[in-house]
Amino acid sequence: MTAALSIEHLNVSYRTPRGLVSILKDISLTLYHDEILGVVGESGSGKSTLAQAIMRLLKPNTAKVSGRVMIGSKDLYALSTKELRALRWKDVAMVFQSSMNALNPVISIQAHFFDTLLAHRPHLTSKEVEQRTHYLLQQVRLNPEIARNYPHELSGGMRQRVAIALALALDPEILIMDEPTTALDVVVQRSILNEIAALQRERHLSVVLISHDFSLVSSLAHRMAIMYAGQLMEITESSGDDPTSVRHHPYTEGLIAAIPQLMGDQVRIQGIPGEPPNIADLVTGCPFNDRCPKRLDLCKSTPLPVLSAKTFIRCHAMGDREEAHNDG
Amino acid sequence: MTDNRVVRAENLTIRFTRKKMPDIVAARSVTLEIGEKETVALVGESGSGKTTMGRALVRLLRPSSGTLWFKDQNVTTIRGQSLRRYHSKAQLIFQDPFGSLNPFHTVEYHLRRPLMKLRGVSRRGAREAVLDLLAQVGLTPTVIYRGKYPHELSGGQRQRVAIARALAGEPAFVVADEPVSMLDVSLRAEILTLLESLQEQRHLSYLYITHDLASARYLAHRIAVMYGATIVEMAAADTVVRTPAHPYTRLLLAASVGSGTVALPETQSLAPDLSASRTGCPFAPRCPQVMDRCRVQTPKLIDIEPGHAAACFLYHDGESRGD
Repeated sequence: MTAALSIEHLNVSYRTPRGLVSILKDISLTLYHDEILGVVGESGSGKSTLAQAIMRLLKPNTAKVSGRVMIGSKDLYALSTKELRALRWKDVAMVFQSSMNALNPVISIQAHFFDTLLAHRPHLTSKEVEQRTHYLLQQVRLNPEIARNYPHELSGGMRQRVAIALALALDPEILIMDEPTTALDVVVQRSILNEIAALQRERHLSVVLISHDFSLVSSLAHRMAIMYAGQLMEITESSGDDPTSVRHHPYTEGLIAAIPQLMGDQVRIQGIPGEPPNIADLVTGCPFNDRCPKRLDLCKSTPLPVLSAKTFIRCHAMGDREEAHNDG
Repeated sequence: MTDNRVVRAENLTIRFTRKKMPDIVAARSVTLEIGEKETVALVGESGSGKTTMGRALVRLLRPSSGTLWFKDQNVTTIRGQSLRRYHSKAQLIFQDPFGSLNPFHTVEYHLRRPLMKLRGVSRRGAREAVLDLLAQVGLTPTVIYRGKYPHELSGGQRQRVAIARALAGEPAFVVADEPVSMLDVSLRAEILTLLESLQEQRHLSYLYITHDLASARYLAHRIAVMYGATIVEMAAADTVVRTPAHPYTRLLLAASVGSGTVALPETQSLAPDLSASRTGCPFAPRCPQVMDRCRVQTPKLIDIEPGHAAACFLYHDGESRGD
């Protein structure tokens, strides 16, 4: 497997009136070709910041970023603005959280495709853009007729499909999806996720799928990265519909125990005691230590080892780093 | 069903009038009853009318027709003092804990108001009662939380305040409208288990409104599935999840994570027609098992086996169960 995108020692801090607040701490992870990598975290865990950092969307006057984001041999953070502009959307496209509201209300769907396509391929004729729009809308199973409509004339699910079609417009190899279906109804959500899975298989896309919903991501992704308080706690093979089939970090185990299962004979659900920590004042050790049922004395003060293998679990209580699946 | 019913809606219809546009019928002749210490989950997609039903049951909305019973009292059209008395018995927990608390007021203020207005507790007596309520919803040490403002609380803590506020009037019946869908996964379980233990302690009846079948199955005794302003299926929670009868329930189940199904049993995804002039089954345009009569006649909610009701012609006239 070759890497489509690799993040190396990424740190992000936001500039606040009270000084820098560190949001992402030493994130290293690799997205391989032709896979869906799920990123799961609760609000405030830094998952959306991660998506923005991957796209280099964080403004230098609000956030301080260090580390590298490599696409092929190019480091996104070493590119000039012009080079970056050419690469964004062509190589890496993004579907934003509630991107159905990101469509411009005063221009038609067709005009969105004109904007996107002509910005990168100015030589295209109107006819070619229209044909391409037709093809893309069909790809996400929309009636191409709706190109003439305006965003407000479409339902939420349809707008989300348009946003996905727009992301596919320039044949990117990498797709970053930040909560692509969160605001949608269960049935619509499932049909869009099925679509994403089908497109990924067809086009061999590399997808980062960010969500707060563990079971949803687990049903779709090949590997899962779990974030907590700005750190990567684990990356494990996805367990599909049976979350108990894979060994997980204590935090992830807590998440799984907190979700009512649709089928099966689970009798009780159990929340994780306590609240997520304030990201501005974290201990040097594991950020989950005070809520963890398996914590050891060393957890509070000993920093977690930084791992970047294909799968790993960062936990003092689950054995040292050699024992974690450090199999590269 | 239970003999000791707390709330019963009989053929409840709620119709919204709009200027220069056709009316919307958000609940169409819905019959539903909730027994003592029972939780009924109302499951459906957005626009199915589940929130409207919840609001009507606590009489934040006045039904257009039909009858609403609270124990032996007809509360369909009550107003003034008697409505206020009903509000102390029937309360609502809103979905959004960020929007349902006033940012300018402390936790104590939010809890004191229903204590004084609905239960006539004195201002002095309210101080004690506030602490008591906070303890019951697990916001301890209570003296610290009493003086906090909503922005100082996390989403889970705010929802606990909202629950305490709903309990302040000592209700018998609480409508919980998506109480956990805005919360983080790790906190949802705590709120659900809190609702469970409060039901046990206070003998509460719940209408749990949600779009999530898994949590409905967990919390509720019975599940009512709502689609296009009508209840299309109702049965014990396990029955709905394990042997769904109505094609819409099957679709909802197939779409839910953990069902093990990938293909969605629907023909197209159209929103249901909510106009007053609608004929036929609301699900007919999407139904893979649609028959001619489904488009003209509306199927009634009938028992297909004891305690399992469905509104679908597949089960009428002794026709066999289609799969």
